[in-house]
Amino acid sequence: MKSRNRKGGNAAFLAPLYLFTLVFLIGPFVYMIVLSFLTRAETWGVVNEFTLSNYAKILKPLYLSTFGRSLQLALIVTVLIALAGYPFGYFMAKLPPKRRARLLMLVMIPFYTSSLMRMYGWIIIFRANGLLDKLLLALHLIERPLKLLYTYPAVVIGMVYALLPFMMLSVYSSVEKMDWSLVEAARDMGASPAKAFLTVTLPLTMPGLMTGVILSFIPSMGLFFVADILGGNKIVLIGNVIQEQLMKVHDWPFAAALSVVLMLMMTVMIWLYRRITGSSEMEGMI
Amino acid sequence: MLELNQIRKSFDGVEVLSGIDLRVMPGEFITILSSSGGGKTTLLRIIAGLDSCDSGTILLDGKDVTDLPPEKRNVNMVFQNYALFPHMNVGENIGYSLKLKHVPRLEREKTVADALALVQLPGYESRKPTELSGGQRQRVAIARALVNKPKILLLDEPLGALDLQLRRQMQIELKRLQKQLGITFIYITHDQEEALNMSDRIAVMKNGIFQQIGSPSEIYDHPKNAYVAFFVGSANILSGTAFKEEGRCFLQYGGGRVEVDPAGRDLQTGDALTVAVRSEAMELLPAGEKGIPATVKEKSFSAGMLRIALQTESGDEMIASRHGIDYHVSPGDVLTLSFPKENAVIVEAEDEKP
Repeated sequence: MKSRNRKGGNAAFLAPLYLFTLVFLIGPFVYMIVLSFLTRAETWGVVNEFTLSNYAKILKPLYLSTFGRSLQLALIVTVLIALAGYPFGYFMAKLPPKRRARLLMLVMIPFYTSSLMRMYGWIIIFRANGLLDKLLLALHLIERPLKLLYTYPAVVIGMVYALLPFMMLSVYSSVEKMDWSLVEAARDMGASPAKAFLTVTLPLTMPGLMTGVILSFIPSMGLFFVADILGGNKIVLIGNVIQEQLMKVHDWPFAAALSVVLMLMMTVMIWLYRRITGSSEMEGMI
Repeated sequence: MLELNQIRKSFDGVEVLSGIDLRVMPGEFITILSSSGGGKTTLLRIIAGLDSCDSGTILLDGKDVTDLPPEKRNVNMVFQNYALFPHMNVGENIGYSLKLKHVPRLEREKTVADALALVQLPGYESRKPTELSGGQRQRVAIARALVNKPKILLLDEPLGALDLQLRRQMQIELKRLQKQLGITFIYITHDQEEALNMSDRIAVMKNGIFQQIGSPSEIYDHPKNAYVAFFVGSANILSGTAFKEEGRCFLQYGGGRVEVDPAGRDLQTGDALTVAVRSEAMELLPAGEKGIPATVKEKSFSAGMLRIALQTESGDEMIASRHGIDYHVSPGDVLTLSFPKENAVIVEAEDEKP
């Protein structure tokens, strides 16, 4: 965000923005941090008693391995999204304006439906003898139904599907700003098309790719409902643990501690992003 | 060494190059001069391989390179906006092509340092392009294009973004570089002064075709048609009819007549005749003398020259220029225009002015 200080005077207009941020962002955040150091009450709620035990509990192998599994899944999902999303965003940016606008529209349309609903849609496709199995059987590509539902690949596909548009759009906005005479200059200097892409286009669109990575990696750690709906009870991610501790076990302080650790991990990632790209602004986050 | 044969190119049904023929000699500085949007950049891009031509062939050292991609042609280009890679420093920019060729690091660094010395920016390796001034970026772009030792260097209006003083200085420097390195330069501009100052030969282009190719003095002193005469050195164009008397030939124009040299042409009285006369060759005589009557419209002074605009009886505007500011005519004066016959060049009639 660029600051626009037009000789003060704008404070009155900005006040609602600050108030909103305070009430809905900073307030809950501080509450969460405070909560993570409190003790759980016997039955319901919390006791105002300082403790570090919530954090100590995270170090148990059960939870550490959940963090590990979540990181692994997020990594796989992010790599797949980058591989699929970069080319898409790239070619979309190179299309003539009219066709580009049409394609952008197609990317946006699914957002008009709740992502939860769309995940249920995948159940119909993935379940044993569902659409996917029937199609592949009919094409004689497989001999037995895959029964993808409630498996690891199903969760990966669901996450990739849910988060791919963010990568596409951030890559798109970055490629769209490319000065193509630089690529021509590279070709003129003796670079093959592939070499020119690797040495000029890719480094110059890296901010868009990195924004896409952040926008895929961070949510894929926390999209508990995808693992819930497409993974059954078999795939437990950190998001599922938080949700479970909060909604079922009612251990709010522990859920808060898990969330704080998750947020710290994300902060480190964003810090790394800034170090790599040297920018404080994210590409395509309009 | 470079041979263009009947190059044609259309964009969306509009022909921008309609049959370009050009032979470029080794070590030559040739300028393609045309007004903005005259298709000259397209021609340069076709030579570089960045655009393809619809028909025609390009021979480089006798080898057909028409279908070769840009990286396979030993031709480098200095882009109009310099096209320096923003994510690399000056040294990396210049060393880019060397790195592609896997030149060892030490040798690469030495070549880059030499190239920077050549464009008078020694020690600038670690600067970022954004930290440089326009003139410095220009020099880096030239160094980057030269480091590859191209057979031909293509320059696309490289001085267009610089201010006048810097432009003059760069003109001299470009010429020096070209002489020193002996590389063929194909230079594109819409600025006739640049063309006249630097080139060994100038090709004047209009509507996708060369109007005239020749040395600066040929182009300036013997323009082939009215377009060339007007575009290079902004000559006055007088279109009238021929008038023969006692073996002498006159131009009948705007209520007067002035003798011209038919230069071997067989002109008859009544033939259409167009001549081009440089503004500095225009003579201003008192009213009533033999010549073309005209009224002074305005006087202006710039770059050491007094520019006098006159209107003939036929309504055309003529320009006469004089050195120094003291010339005693004022708007409204009625004078007679004339010119020595050796300063009038008969050109092919051309209605359009650039």
